[in-house]
Amino acid sequence: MAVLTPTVNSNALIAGFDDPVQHGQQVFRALLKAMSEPGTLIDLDLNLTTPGQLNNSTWQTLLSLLDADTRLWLSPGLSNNESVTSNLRFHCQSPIIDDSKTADFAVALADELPALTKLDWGSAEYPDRSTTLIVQVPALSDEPHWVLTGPGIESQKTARIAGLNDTFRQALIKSRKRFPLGVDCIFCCGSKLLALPRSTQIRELRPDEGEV
Amino acid sequence: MTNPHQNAGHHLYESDNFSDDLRVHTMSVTSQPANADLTPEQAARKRWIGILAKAELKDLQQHWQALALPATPEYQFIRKPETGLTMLRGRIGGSGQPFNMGEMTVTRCALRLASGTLGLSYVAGRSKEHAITAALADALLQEAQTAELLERTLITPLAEIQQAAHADRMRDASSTKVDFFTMVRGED
Repeated sequence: MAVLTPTVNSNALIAGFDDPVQHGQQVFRALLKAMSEPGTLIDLDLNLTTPGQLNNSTWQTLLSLLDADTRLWLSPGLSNNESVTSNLRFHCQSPIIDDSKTADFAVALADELPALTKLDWGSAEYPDRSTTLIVQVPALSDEPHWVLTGPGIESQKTARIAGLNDTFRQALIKSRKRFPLGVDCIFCCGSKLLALPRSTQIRELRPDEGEV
Repeated sequence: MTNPHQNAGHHLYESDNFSDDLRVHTMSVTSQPANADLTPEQAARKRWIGILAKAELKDLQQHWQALALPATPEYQFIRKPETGLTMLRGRIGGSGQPFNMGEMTVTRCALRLASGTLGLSYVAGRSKEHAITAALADALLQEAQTAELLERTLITPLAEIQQAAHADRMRDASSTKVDFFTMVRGED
């Protein structure tokens, strides 16, 4: 694992949370709700200027979760963007690493998703030491496409996450068999986000099923 | 740092002096590269950031208010002033293994002027006002129109105050100097 140390370009720096403590907790609370009620679309209230290609919910999630002790992996489009790396280094101080396997958080654009096997799934002794994957997707909705069941969902929920390639979708569905190992995912779009922790079982809706 | 006693030819143990020395080494082992690696612009900025950080708040305020700035600077916070702890590290004798000396309270701030120039500050203590003023001064010192004015009416006087205080301290320290001449053997 090598820690990349991109230079912080001071011209690229923008403001983070206006009130880091209050707003950081506000977003953390929203993430907690997203994780404990998988498949629920959460709307973040704050509206911040964002660096590079990052959208509002991805940027706020990162500001709230990252610090100097969280190793961060960025997909190539993000790690090559000076505004993204400068602002993450300045506001979060996270070491940015080149090996997704040892990352605490991996952030990817939907078309640059890493293979799930390239992330840390945790170990039987420490399943909590897994990578949390944050994906920025072009669209999120509760239209029936995936049927979600599991802890935090009363009967079942539906979700449609646009922009994920087929390999990734199949791998994600299959990975749920390895519980308690696995990768928790947060999907971000605009100011909305939706979480699929590893405890959530995913089933693809069959074409003949129509409405659930 | 020059030790005023280094030419005295006698051994001297004086606690104030030790901590002063240590502070200098601490600064050099942490993140600050040696001056030799810096461009002249960086070295100049390092100097005024240091002077602004070490200035007493009342001196800073007094000189800041006396500045006749052409216009009140407009700025936006990139990082609002925030207070935290930072670990100071030192090396025994300046060359041994680094050790953690203790934590100190530091307030930092980053802001951007309307022109786009970024000002940074890290100051000792909890004064947010000190951090904001120091960051604002750092930004204005990088601006061509205001650099000369600030250097002349803010940085130079503050540097003089600090040098005078340092000299006072050295004078106080040397008044407690003890010559162990009877302990030294082998002298004529």
